[in-house]
Amino acid sequence: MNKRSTFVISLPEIFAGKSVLATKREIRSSLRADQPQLVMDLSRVREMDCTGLDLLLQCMVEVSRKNGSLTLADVSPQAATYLELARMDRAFGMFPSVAEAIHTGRYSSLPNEVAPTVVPVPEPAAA
Amino acid sequence: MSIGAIITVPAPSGAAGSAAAADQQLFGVPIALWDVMGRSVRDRTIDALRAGGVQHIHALTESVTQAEGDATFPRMFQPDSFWTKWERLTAELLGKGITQLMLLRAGPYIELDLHDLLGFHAQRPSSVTSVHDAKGSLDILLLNAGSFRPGDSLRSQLATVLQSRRRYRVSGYTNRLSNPEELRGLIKDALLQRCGLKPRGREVEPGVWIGKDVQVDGSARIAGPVYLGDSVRVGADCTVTNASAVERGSFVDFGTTVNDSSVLPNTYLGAGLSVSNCVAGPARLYHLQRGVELQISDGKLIGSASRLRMGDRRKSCLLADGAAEGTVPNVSTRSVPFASFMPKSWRLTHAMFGARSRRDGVSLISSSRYAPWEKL
Repeated sequence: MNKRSTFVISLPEIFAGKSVLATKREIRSSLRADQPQLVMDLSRVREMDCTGLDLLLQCMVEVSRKNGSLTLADVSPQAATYLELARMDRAFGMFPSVAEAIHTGRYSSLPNEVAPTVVPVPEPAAA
Repeated sequence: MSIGAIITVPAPSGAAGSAAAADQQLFGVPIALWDVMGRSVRDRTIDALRAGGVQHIHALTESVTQAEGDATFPRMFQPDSFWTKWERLTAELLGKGITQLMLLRAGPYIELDLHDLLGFHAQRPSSVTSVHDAKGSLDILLLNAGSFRPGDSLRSQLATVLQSRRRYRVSGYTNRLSNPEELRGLIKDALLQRCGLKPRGREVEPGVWIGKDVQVDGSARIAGPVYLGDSVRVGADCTVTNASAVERGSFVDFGTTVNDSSVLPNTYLGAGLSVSNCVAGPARLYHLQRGVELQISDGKLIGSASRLRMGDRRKSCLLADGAAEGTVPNVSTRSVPFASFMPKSWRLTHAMFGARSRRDGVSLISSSRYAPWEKL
């Protein structure tokens, strides 16, 4: 049975300095859950710094300890550039939308669980 | 024959946010003023004019950026203060007895055969010769000094003679430098010898050009064609490759890769970065594929190299070596300000995802000593 809890965290436009601390508190509360599935919405992010980038990595480590998953969704071009600059673009799964990240995260990388296979449903016979 | 030239220099856009939007600007500065492998396009243009026999050259800064006005040349929308200066310079040149006056704008990079242009102009000296390429005007005009009558307003006379333009088509290499992509294109073309622009320095290996006082760590990988300008420092485990140019005074810190990119003068690239397909400047980054410009407030990522002292640079590299793998126990972190930022989890990630190509910490200690290029 899937016990995973999903949390969508929207990162601020300037994910640097003090704003990182606020996000950190939000993340901390979500990490109390068992097998948390964290989806970071980076659509608004325009600026990042080392603290913000480091928080993402810390979060990844913590989430993996709890057998959860961390994915990035709707990454803005600016955020994508920061992640690439810090060589972190390959460290995270990235999805074009939050919905897709939630859907994919739900069926992937869960221990002892096989991703569902798609079985074609036969067309109902005409009455 | 005596030729005079007035070269107008585009005005900086000023506002940081509008830098990318303004034509021929990069990070708020006209592209023609940024160094392109050791020398700006403006200075290269002046050098070419001098080599072509232009005796009197004056430079004049425009007051309005191109994006705000029309695209005709010379830009008549400039304020009266500009034209007052222009008239004074023109009168000065005419007083020196010049026979031809060249008006040009320090914007595009043009490999112009000046003698061929003068020969073309001599066929119909009464008209104005306008230099074009396949895409249009290149902001160069050549006119006879005799077209100006003394006493009248030179500006209004210029407007009159401009109505009879003859087009001269450039056969050589041209690059309009209207955006950062074209700047990168020029640098690539120069390093791949597709144009006549020569890097300022000497070619120490095929395709590897270096300026004066360049210091490269023994473990760094420099794969040509590349250009390293004067006083450039490349730290341990760095890679500079794929037609990249690191301009004067820049510092590439430990483990950073510069691939298919240009690093503008006095730029500090922090440790462990991947600068690929970008133009990086002090606290700025322009990503060429995404067309995104970043203003980076965190100087530990990308900042100004002129703020760093040389002693700190050396220490930072030493620390980064030890910090990444924990193999240099003798280096005190307290004495190393520029690598202490690298968070522990980040270091782990770098080890995990291949930021480093070498793991032998022992050899890194010795390789962290900078050596002049000649001694490598």
